[in-house]
Amino acid sequence: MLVVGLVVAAMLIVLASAQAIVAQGAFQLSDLSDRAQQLEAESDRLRLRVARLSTPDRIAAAGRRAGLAAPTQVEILGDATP
Amino acid sequence: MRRPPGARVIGLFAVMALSLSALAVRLVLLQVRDGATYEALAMEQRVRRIALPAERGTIFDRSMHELALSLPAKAVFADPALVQDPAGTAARLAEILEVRTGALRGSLTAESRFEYLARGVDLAVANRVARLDLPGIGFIDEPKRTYPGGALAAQVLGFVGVDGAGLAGLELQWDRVLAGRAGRMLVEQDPDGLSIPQGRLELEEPRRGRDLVLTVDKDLQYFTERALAGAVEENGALGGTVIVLDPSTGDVLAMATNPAFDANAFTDAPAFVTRNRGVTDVYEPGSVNKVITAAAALEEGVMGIRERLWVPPRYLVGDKVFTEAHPRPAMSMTLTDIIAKSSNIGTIMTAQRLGRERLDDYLRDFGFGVETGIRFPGESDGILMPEEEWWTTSMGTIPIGQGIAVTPLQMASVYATVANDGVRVAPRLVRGTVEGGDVREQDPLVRERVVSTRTARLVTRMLAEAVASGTGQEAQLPGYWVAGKTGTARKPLQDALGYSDEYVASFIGFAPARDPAVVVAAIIDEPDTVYGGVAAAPLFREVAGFALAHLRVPTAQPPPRLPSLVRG
Repeated sequence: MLVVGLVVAAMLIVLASAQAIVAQGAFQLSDLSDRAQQLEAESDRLRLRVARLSTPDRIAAAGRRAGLAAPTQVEILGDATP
Repeated sequence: MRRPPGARVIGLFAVMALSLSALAVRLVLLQVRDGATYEALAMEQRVRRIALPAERGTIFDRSMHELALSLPAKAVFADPALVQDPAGTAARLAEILEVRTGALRGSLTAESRFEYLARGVDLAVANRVARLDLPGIGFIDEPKRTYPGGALAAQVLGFVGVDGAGLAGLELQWDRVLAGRAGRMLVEQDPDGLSIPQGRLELEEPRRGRDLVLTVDKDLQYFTERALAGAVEENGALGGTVIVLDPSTGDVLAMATNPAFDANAFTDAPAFVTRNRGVTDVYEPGSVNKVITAAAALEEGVMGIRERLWVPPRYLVGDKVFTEAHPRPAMSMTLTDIIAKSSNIGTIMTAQRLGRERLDDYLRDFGFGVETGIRFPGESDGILMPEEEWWTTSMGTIPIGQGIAVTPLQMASVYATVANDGVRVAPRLVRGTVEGGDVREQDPLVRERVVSTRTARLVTRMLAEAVASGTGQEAQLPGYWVAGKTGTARKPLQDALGYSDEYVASFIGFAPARDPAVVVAAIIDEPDTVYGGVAAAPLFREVAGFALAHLRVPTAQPPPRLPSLVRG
């Protein structure tokens, strides 16, 4: 009787532990999912920043602030062979 | 010791039996008869159906720079029935969401279970609201469309509404491709919103929209918009349009409309400003249309390249007397002189040799009266009456670009056809969609010969003469052989027959004339000066010069002028 009781108690402890591990895993999964979402959002934010920094308007303004000016005349040299 | 009477025991037993029976019946009712209903109610409480919006595809320029992209954002909503302190909640949210307190208070006290408080809210802002833990306030994932360039190509790109659907421009035209397909997730959650381990989970992944690659070059687009804005201001004009085409592929390298607007704040812009007027609006082209008469006359052999016409200073067609823009005596002119000097009467006399049927055929073959095939929402066909309905004066007006209406794109396409050795290629704004990392090219809808290579090259030399010594000298570019034509047309009255005193000035041309790399159509609406050569040719020169340098087109010396043009 005592042995049966001990076995049942042990099984209950194992079952409870397994449930706890599963629950802990679910919480970790949820945390990791949140973290992945945060990183994805950060990646998108940086993507937008790169796109904004690459706009011709911003680059032209930055060039003007740096004292650069567009050339008034450009000559493109072609292939020297006839 | 007294024993309870047998009747009491029996009574007690009966009461217990009845009670247990009642419980059993109730249990059966709950578990068997109503079991499914209660199970469904329980599931309803635990299971959340979460919509997973599909990310809208990105729009790239031809060099894969992002012109429009979608970012994760939230819609903030309220369930007014659960809001405990509407005034306090409104005050706290107003500052974070940048919405008026009064408007928020109205939403929070509405007689409904769902009210939007703000849409397209950045995640950082939404997180600030979430940290307030206000009862009755919730969030929905709702990606937000962003245009990093602001006003860059805004009329071409169009915009999307708060629900993510395309409302104008390419966003509307390609909505089904860009939008993708929304997904959904079923998940069991506890009252705090945490997922229940081993709970039910069903996931239908959203399908992201496909990316679109345009033919537009963002640097050329920017320069074109800036040059156009400068020309509009300098000429005191209402606005303008510039289109830059690659004549061999039909690629639209730039398409600028002024006034401009910021696509991120399209609701602040008047409706007419948001139209891509190079495609949606029509105008009477004026003298730039003479090129069709010249090409048709050469192709049909009704006028030789060295043949001379005696052109009077005044000419009667029907009941209308036509004159030149600048009075001159009667003189002998070749077809090249007629184009170079933009002679109205010479063009009309040439058209009369051609006849109205053949003129009508060529106007249609060059693409008038039908959409160009660019596939853009609201594209106009232009106005070209059936030949049998022409007026008696139409053989005077139509050859010189009056009494018909075309879009700037249709007119640019005519010059692209000449530049492309007589083969018309439908203009295209979309190079293709991105599939598996590669661009799946969209072929132009039309590619057909309109005139022979010989005719196209002769017309090119006439247009080059117009720039070298005629009305288009302001369009000359050092180092490049430029071909093109000025145009000045009076604007028709809005609500009556006849013309106003306002003009549209234009210059359309291409360079280098020997092997054209770009066609540029520069059109200015109501400039101070009435002449296209003065108002629009410098704009052409500025844009074409930048485009040729940007595309690394080598400079070269122009060939000698046509012998027939040398005065003898």
